[in-house]
Amino acid sequence: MQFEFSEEQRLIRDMAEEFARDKGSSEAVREAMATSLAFDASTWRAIQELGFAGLLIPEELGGQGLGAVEMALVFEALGSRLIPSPLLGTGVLAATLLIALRGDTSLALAREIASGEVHMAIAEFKDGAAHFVLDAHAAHCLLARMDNRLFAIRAERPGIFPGMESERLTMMDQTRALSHLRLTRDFDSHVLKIAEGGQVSAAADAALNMGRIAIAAEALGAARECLARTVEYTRERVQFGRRIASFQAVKHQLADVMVSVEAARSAVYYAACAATETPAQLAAMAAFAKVEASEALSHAASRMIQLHGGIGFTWEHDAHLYFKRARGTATLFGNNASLDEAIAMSLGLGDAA
Amino acid sequence: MRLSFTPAQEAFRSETSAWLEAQLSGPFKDIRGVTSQTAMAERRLEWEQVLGAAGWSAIGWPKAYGGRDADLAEQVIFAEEYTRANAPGRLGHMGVELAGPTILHFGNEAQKQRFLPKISAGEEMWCQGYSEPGAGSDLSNVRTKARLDGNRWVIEGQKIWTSLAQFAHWCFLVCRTEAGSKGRDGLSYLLVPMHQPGIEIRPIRQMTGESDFNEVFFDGAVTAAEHLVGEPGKGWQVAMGTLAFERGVSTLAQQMHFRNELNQIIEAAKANGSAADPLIRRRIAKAWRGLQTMRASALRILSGADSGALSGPQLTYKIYWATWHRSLGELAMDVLGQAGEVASSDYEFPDLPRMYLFSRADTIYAGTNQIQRNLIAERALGLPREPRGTE
Repeated sequence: MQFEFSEEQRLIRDMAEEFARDKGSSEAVREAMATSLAFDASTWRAIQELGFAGLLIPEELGGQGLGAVEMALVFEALGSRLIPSPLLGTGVLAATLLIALRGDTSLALAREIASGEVHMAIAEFKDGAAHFVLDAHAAHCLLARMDNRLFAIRAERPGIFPGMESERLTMMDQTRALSHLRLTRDFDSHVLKIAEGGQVSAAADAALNMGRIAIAAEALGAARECLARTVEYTRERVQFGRRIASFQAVKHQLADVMVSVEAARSAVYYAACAATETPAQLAAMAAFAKVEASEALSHAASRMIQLHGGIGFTWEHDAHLYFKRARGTATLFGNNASLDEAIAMSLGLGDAA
Repeated sequence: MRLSFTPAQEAFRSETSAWLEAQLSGPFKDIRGVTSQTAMAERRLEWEQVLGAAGWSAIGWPKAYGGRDADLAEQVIFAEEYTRANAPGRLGHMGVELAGPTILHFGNEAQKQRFLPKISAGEEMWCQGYSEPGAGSDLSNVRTKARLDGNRWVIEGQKIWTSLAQFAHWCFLVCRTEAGSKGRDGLSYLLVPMHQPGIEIRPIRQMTGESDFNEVFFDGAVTAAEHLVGEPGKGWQVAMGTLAFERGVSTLAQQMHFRNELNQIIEAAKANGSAADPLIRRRIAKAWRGLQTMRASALRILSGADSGALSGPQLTYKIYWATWHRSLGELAMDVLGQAGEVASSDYEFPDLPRMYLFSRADTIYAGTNQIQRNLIAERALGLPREPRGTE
């Protein structure tokens, strides 16, 4: 056992961190989130050129063949600047689902992701609709699950799927793009069925759990950034003739945020590593990391606003972007209470009353 | 980054658990599961010697001083198996975890030769002479003095909250060796024999009803001039180094103990029906997450191979576990209900209610939560230091 990053992992981290610093200015993020695309096309192209879309895809399919630890390092970096992109939907959810299914059609689609040219999303339809679907608004291909069947639906043009209405949602957190999708007729002949049976739900669970680890890593990056920016501000701001960071009422709150951030860091890295080595632990580790990091970000972002005072409440300051990301993280891919309930079940507590 | 163990490491695990099982179902059956610091001390001293003779006492130390040169993975495995086997609390832990690593890091070769083999053999127990009535959180306000008289130090003063002093052969003592000095300057780190006329030990009865801590009075106590670790007047750095070792491998054993406590709470919740309460379920899940986080943090700290210096995750570890454990005590009592408040006729409690009471000390000793926040803010975040008062 060695709980340290390998040389290769450090290289990937450094590359992702440099990319995030370069592309993740407040202006760039705000500009991207305000467009109908909700991300910057050139930034997304650059992410694909770095090979991040194919990170989890085996090398024989043109991907990087890497695992959850490397994925976490990339998402921590991107999350630190809240960089909007369809990487989560494409490179994590769709990629994990397709690789888990293994069939020729699935692997051919995974190869498309690794080629760095497509944008995919996954959706689960119930009663003719799929709600809060991530990254579908500009996708080239939708992996649509209905009961135990999985279909690949090619878009007529990005985000427009045959036989389907889509409603792009304006979410509180504008750095993520979510949509409601509704079927207007049954899938017709040009819809490709790619898998059927129990393997579909197992693969979809795997995708959801990888997604949880990815957003946990993003939340870690965001929380760490909240702390750094708040430390910087409180060291400069003077009131009562003192730097406000010299007041214990301020510094102790920042110390508590650091405790949360370090806890989230431990949880995310451990969960990513354990999930890679012991796939049977994936669900528990994903729930663990997601709740820990989500709570750390909620803590860090709320303190960021409070300790910045009035400026932290303005639209101009970035604090609200992190605060809103915290809210979105708390509910995406299962809310924290439901994940804690899953943990309680796994600890043998049986059913609730 | 890898969490799993190799076949060789798994073989080491089997060897460890077989040895522990043979001892604890055989000659040391009577002290299996004894977690109280003070109970059955004589038998636990014999246990220390058996551990030492078999080379299990300080496995991470160099072979030359009675260790096994065990790597991190082996130390993790030993800590896990020790707790899994329900082996008794270590009477020797102050020596093995604190005094030993400090001497190994800051001591000279003669000191290493003199002290380390006796610690790893379980022959000499240790206690920590840091806090004083006027030097609690403000540790550098130490007033206990030592003056050099020929080839020995003569010590006057008082220490307090000294765990295991009644069983200790030696004390690592922070005291003032430069007359008129103040604060961190002029302190030295002395190794002092406990069995001598100039030392008096008085137990302190705690809110649990037990006496884990003592007051120790030094009235003309002596130690040899060469038993000073580091440089005279530079004892503060050594003392802080010892605190860094407190976040070492022993944290893994502590976590396994916490895991046993959480398992007891889960069993109690299932038995009395409180497991059906959604609030209790959520708190148990949260406690489990905290335990996982601590394991991950400990592995991060240990893999960083820090020695004698506190890094970011090390600085946050104390407040995290102490606060977590205090909450675990509250969870335990909420699960147990009124039945958990019942003591024996001589006011002794079962493990969980005792832990509930004792955990109030967790956020005080080894640096209160408030001191931890100052340390994190000042050392890790670079925020302004607290000004010293003038009173």
